[in-house]
Amino acid sequence: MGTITDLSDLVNLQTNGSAQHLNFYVDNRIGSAAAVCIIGQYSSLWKYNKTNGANGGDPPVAPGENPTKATIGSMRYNNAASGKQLWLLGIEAIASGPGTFILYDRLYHCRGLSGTSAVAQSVGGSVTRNTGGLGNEIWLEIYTLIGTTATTLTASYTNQDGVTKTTLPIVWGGTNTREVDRVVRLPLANGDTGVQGVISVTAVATTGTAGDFGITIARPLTRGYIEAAACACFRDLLSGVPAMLSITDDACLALLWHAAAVTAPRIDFTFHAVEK
Amino acid sequence: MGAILNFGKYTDGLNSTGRHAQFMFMNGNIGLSPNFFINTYLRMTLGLAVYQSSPVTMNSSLNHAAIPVPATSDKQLWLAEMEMTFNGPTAGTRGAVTLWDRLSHMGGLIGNVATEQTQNLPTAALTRYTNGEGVQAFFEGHTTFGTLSTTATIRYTNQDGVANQVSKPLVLATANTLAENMAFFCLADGDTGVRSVEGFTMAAAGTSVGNGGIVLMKKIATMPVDTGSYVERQPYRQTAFNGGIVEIMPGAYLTLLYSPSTATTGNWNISGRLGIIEA
Repeated sequence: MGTITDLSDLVNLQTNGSAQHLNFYVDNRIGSAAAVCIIGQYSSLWKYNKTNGANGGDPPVAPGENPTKATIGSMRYNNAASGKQLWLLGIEAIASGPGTFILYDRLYHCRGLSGTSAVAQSVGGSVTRNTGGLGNEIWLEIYTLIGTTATTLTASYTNQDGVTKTTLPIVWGGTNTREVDRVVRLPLANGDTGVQGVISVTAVATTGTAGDFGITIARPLTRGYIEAAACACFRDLLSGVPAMLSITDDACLALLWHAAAVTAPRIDFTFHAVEK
Repeated sequence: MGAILNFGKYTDGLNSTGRHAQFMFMNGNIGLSPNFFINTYLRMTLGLAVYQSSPVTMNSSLNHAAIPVPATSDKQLWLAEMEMTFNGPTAGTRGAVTLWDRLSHMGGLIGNVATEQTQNLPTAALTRYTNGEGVQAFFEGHTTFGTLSTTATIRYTNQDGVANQVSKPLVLATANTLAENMAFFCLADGDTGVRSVEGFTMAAAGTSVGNGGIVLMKKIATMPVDTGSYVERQPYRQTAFNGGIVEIMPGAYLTLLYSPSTATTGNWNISGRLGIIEA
């Protein structure tokens, strides 16, 4: 594993066989069904049709699994050679609607949790990459429509120090946080900076419909903003921030979309990386 | 043939030995479909292209390619810099441009049948990126399919040579089957590229015959030309700084896709310059 020493090293790595240029297209459909977004809410693009790796399936029921780059739904790329590290240098995207996309490593996911339960539901998942937990987040992800009654939900989790904590409550259920593909990010307990695992989730009351939801532990890497329909986003991670990100071996790379329009996005996405 | 050894060689390449070339793409009055992709195949000023029916491969010896790229070279060619400008048909027209290597194309697909079409297929065997890894398949409108709202799939051979893979359904609607529009086919689970296409099937027949084709292309670069105003020079980009020194294959047929933000019809053009280094 090595660091990029200077600009000359960077140029050389891009042209000596160490580079990867991954391009793929995300369609705004899941199989044959049209996807829908809600302004101001997060939509998981995990199951959207793609030209690289294609659409992901529903994850296993809790205790779930630790997806990797080989899991259907992940972007397909090559790990760095043994003893080397993959460095993300830049991303580019065009989208058919305005919004923000977040590139993340999908560390853990499960489904099979019920929207009518008002007691603790076991999750029992932990991460196998970025195991210290720093920067990892807990996301609630909906796979089948839950109920129309808004309530609150918390998660019991292991923080970056291995201590059991409880998230702050999020509003969940009801219009805009009940639909398929909706993601709700859970705020951690005061002072916490990451997550090693999720023990359980507990809702205060039923939403009225069992549906099917799950928990995802994700590590956001970087993001881009599409200002308006058909516009592009270009990120230079050399002179911009975050600077040259390290991509962990087998990272399950995926996109989360924060919509600024109800029309689900079609995205032409590219990333550039080198290994050293 | 090989790598650019250091930043000095990179700048030397741009300043002295780099292969710079101008390109220009212009248009008359073509209807723009917002948020879809319009290809510049017919629109380059270097020469007039025509749509083909029979399957053919594309290379830079065709006089309408976007930029002259040597057909053969004892060196490697690297995209080192690019700049583009866009003049929209009306104030506020926005959009983005992507640069592609157009590898193979065909035509003669029609819009009023719901059975698999195999005329003029399979697509011609790739002569660059020959295993198909990272190669994208597009539907390209040649003559509009008319009023339409259905889906289509392709039957293709993937990057590993596995035949009879079936794409995800692509929405074929009036907007994205207009002449010169292109639409991506999403691939079967796990696939990362297309080596060839053997069949095209619409879920329901439209009312117009029309004419369409399949195009195989490899992405090279993205360039935002998001102006928000009528005419505005866009940022210059050196590809070294975002990891984007992408190899240009000898003989590459470079072309552009334009994604517009409005459906305005009117005069518009894209112009720009690429800088390619030989090493």
